[in-house]
Amino acid sequence: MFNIEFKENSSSKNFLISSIFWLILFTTFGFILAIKFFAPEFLGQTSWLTFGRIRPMHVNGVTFGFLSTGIIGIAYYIVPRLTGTKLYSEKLGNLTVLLWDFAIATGTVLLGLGYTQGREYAEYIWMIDVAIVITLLLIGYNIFKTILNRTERKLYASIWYIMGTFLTFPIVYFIGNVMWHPDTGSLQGAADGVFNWFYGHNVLGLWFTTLGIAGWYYFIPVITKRPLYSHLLSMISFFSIVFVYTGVGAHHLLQAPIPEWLKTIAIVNSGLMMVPVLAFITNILLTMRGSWNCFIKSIPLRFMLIGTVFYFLASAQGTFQAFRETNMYLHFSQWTVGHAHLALLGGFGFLVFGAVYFLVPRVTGKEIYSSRLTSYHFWFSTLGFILFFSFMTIMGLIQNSGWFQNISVATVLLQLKPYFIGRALAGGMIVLGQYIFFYNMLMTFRGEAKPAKEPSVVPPKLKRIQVKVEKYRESVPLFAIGGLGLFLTMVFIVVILPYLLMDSPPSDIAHPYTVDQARGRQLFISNGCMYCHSQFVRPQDWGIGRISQPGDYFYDKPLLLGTERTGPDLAQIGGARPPLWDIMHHKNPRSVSPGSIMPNFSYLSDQDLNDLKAYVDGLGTRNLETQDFQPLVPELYSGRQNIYNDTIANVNSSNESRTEYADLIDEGKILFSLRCLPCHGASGIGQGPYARHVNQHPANLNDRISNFPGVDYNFWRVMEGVPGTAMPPWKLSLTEEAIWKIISYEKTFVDGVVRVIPGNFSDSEAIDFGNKGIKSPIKQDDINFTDGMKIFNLYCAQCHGVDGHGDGPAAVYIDPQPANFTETSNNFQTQGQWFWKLSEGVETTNMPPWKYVLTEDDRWKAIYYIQKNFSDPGVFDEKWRS
Amino acid sequence: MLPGDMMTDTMMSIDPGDYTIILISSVIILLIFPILLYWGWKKGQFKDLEEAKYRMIEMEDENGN
Repeated sequence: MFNIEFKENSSSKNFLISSIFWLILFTTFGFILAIKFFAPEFLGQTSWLTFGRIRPMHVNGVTFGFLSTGIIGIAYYIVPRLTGTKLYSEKLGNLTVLLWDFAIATGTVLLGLGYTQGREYAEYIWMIDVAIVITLLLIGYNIFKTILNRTERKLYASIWYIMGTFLTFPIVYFIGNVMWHPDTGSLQGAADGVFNWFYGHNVLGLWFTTLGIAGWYYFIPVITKRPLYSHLLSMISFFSIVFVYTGVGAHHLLQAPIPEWLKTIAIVNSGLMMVPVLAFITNILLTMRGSWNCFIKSIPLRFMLIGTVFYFLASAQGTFQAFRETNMYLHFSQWTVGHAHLALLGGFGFLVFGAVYFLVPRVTGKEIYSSRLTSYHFWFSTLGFILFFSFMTIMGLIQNSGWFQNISVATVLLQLKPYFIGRALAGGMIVLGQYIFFYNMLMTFRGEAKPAKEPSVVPPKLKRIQVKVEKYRESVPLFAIGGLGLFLTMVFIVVILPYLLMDSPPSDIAHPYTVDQARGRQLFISNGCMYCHSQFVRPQDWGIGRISQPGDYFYDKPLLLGTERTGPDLAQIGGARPPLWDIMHHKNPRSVSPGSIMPNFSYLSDQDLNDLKAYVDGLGTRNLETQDFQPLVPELYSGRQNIYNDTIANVNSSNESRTEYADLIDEGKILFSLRCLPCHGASGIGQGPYARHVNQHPANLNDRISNFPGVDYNFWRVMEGVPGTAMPPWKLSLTEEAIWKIISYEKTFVDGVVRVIPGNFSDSEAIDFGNKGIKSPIKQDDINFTDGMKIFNLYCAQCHGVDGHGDGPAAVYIDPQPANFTETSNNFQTQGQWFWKLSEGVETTNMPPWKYVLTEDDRWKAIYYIQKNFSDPGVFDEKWRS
Repeated sequence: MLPGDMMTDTMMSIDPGDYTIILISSVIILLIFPILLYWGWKKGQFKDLEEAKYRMIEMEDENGN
């Protein structure tokens, strides 16, 4: 299939042919992955067809196969055109095609067989890394020799970008893949994450972006026949990319245990990233002024311009999600997957599509087989991609929203199925477009070369005049020293400095791996478990362990932080599930976890399953403690003490302190009655009226507060609310002081109230009020009796008991004891006396002031029911019958 | 509440001794880049910055595209 005659442009042509082939193969893999999200048994239980194996094949395949071969082909075409000379060596160029394709093919097969370094975007094993770096250096050599032989004095922007790419990217690849450690290609501990994401982001920033912009800056002026709007702007963009993009990698780790200063540098650089991005898009849009008719006429241009829009959106999105607040929300979900596809497929993929349509006639002398098929390709790709991206973005927001409410990963996953299906359909549309593209190209290459009908298909005849060659080399040193200097400076700041300074001893949960665990870890990596299971507890995660620390990873090589949380986080899962459950889960996930979409690992041997179990069960540490059922109090609240501790502790030390205590309980009780009673009930038992309308039953405060690890936990829960329940974050409407008053009152459901105001005080207030001659305004009929009964049973019976004996379910802890109405009802002499007690409550008891909760009529109905039902019939008739 | 507020005290800090490395690096960077800029300016590399964009269109025409 490859052209071995080393004709002019053959290197470019053969790279483009490879790109089309890899596109078909690796987008098909992507389509299979999309199906597996809702049909996890799809394509059976063959190891190399499981999700964890196909995913790295897909990611590395589209990255280094389809996209990289495409943009290298573009670079091989552009450089001779802009330097006015032939490519230095077509022979060397074609050798690089073979080397590159060999590396991709071998790397893909090895990934399928489970040979991986387990670091995202850097999965290829060392042997493949060596082949890639050698090929990059050879391509760079070919390009630089061509540039040094140029006949054009001035270097156009695209050449700057291409030179910059081949100066910096081999270094990025070498450092990021930790190639001086051939065994694992990784560093020990948390520093490995810094190296991984320095590389992971710069595959985008210093490879696709720089080569992609070179392509856009070349093709768009050539197709529209209008010069670039501003060459100076492109220079500014170039230097800012080299400096700023180099330092953004750590924004992938904003929630991870790496130095805070490094995160801050990454955030600042991510903001500054908009400088080159805006410079680029402004340059493109202003170049297009007056030429938008070409957008309609030329499908290659249409692909490329749509690509610039997707690239711009991906870049703006990248900056947006690199801030701490947005990142903590959007992290770990399908949102990020959508973002990656927007940049790679939407941005650079569309550039390659356009470039292939533009270049194939020029490097083969053959017209494109079918313009109709080209149009189909465009519309399937564009519409398919917009749908595809939308599904992932929506899914991401659903996931993040759920997790933010502390809804478990497994529960949220169940809600995503329709979107997984939608994503696969949209992905299928894209893949169908690529098959059309492949067929169109196949027919084009198989066809005969046609005489050109118009200049657009004439193979360019390059000038070969080389005069005063040495004179033209002068701009290379400035570029090389300036660009490379900026790049190396940032590398020093964001890679070398952290490497020197990150030195964390093992944490309390770090432990060396046993032989079984180490083997299990290798199986975890080779089967791609880390693509769905993260391994770090973020500051915003609740209930899955303490926040991860750098020392937790002391024994890890490579680091397996993960980038997606399709399944639960495993950082501290050790001991959380019975070990034999793990084995069953791995053999048949859905037998023990019904909604799981995990692949079936029944192809593993018993030994392998045991090793994998040993690794997973020891993650974090094998925690078999019994008292870890409460999530840890976040740092912001940890250790906070009740500001009224002294008031409560010194209640009986003086008259003033007694008054102070009574006021505290009184105010706390009113606040509680207004805010908390609807769910927790007047007794705190969790039987308030609203409790009937929520799935998560309100807490029984006596039981819950008794088991809280500390008052700081109670304060945190009231301040922030309880995600996944109806408990709201009260900090939004109450002051901290008010919340401490509520907490002081709630504590009486455990400790009782110190009755510093005796009952006869309340009695005398009620008698005074009753003596005013106030009468019940309601009719004493069956309807009001029934209403009164319902009100009593709902609000009062939890303390006073359904039979009024003061033995409701809360009576076991309410102190002072609730009244027994069969005894006390006879004591009331006037209706006003009753009304006062009910409306104002009883000081320094848990009897609330019902005037804050019930209407006057409701209170009278309750009184009517209590009196008629619980007092002696004679007493009722004598006192209340009217 | 921001994630930064919730960070534990296990995050790494810079050892005072390492400030020397950072200081020296910063001074070198501050000196090198103005020198390079001046050198490039003297060499005339900032003249006719826009020329290349016109040449590339002309070359395409010359090459028959």
